[in-house]
Amino acid sequence: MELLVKNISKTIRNRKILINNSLSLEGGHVYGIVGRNGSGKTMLFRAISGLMKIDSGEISCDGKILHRDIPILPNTGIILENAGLYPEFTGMKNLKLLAQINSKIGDNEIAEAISRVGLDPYDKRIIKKYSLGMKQRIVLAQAIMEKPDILLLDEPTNALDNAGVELIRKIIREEKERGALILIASHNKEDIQLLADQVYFMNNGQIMNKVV
Amino acid sequence: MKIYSKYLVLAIVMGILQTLFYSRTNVPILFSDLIFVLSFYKPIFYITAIMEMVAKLIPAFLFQIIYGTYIYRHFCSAGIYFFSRCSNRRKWFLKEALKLYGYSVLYLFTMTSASTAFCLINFEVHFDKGSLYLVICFLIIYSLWYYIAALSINIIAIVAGSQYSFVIIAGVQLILTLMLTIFDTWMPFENNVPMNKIILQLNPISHLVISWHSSKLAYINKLINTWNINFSFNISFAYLGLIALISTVVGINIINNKQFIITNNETGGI
Repeated sequence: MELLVKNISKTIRNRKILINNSLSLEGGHVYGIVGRNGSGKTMLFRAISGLMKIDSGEISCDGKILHRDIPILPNTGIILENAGLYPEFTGMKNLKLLAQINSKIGDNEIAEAISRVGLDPYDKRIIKKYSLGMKQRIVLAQAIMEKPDILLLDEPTNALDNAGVELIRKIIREEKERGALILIASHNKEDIQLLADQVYFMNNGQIMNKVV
Repeated sequence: MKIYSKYLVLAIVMGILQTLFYSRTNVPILFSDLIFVLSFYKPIFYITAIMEMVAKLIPAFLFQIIYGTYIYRHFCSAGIYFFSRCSNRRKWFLKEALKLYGYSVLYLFTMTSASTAFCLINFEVHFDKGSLYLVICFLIIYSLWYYIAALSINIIAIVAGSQYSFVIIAGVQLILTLMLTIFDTWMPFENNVPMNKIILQLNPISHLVISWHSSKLAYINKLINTWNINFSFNISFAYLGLIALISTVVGINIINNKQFIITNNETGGI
């Protein structure tokens, strides 16, 4: 699995949110992006995932160019900051609805993913009743449930207590072992230092330099 | 989704409410008459009759309020996780649009069944010749209109936000209905000017009035054709079908090019 980001730029309402960014990423590695809030990390993830079109540059996955050969990044698990699930359904029902889109996994795999993030798959509570930490865990479960080749994790440890943070770190290491390409964005330097093989610093929509 | 099926109860309530006025009459009800009741009855172009038409849009407005979020809801909270998995948005949208059309048929069928059942229980109903044909025409025309309106609300919500979508589409329907008064004041319909007929048929709301149509079947034509004009059901099927097709194609293009720049359409969160 090889993901190439070549000179991508994006302007929204005359504001340059991504400026000429390039990355070369491979499976089995964890890449970290650090930067302050508003530095463009989330927008970079939206662009890489295919949810947002870029004005110039090119994103390719194993030679296939995004929005030309493929509409979205294939087999990718995503966590984006502030993105939620259907609040009126249980965690299990939410994940079932998402899993139905590609029909790659069944109820057992979904339940396994929910258990893996430390939640009860048969919890009858709806997402609206979940605590922030539980919401973050169930969102991670949706990202990993289909055993993706690529994981784009934007602030994955947000709202988690210490035990939750440790669990997420463990899962990220396991996913790396499995061979997944993992890109993590965080303003928490500790997360990045502990998990990432390579770290990039982002500021004002631009990846400035490789830190490690 | 099951949550949307529950709202069909409203169709039962609407169906019954629209037939309550029969309790004032003491004569047997013709089934064809019941269909006219569900389709604005036999309105004339006076302002009072047109205002009554506006009131009779309530069952349509209820459907539009509920099903106006049927497709849009995917863009609210879970849009990021939904569309990061959906590689063929065109196919997905077509499937959802088809389900929305199915719900419009189901809503109207439930409403008509409820009206019929209520009348059968409480009054004497005669199933007259041709009434089945009228029911079918009613279901086709109304389901197309309900679909067009609900789909447009969904599309506008996706593009501009849900705070505007229903108001815009309900406003358009009210204006189109009130525009029928031009035939009372500016262009008296009794004069039988060919242009008046064309303008009438350009207004989609006029296609919803079953009694204004004409039919080649003599016994049906006797029941309808209030204005004695050539206003075929086929014209209504084709006209509303064309609008439905255009709305669907527009929807496909919008969905396919939709960018997820904000996280949640309802909160505007970035």
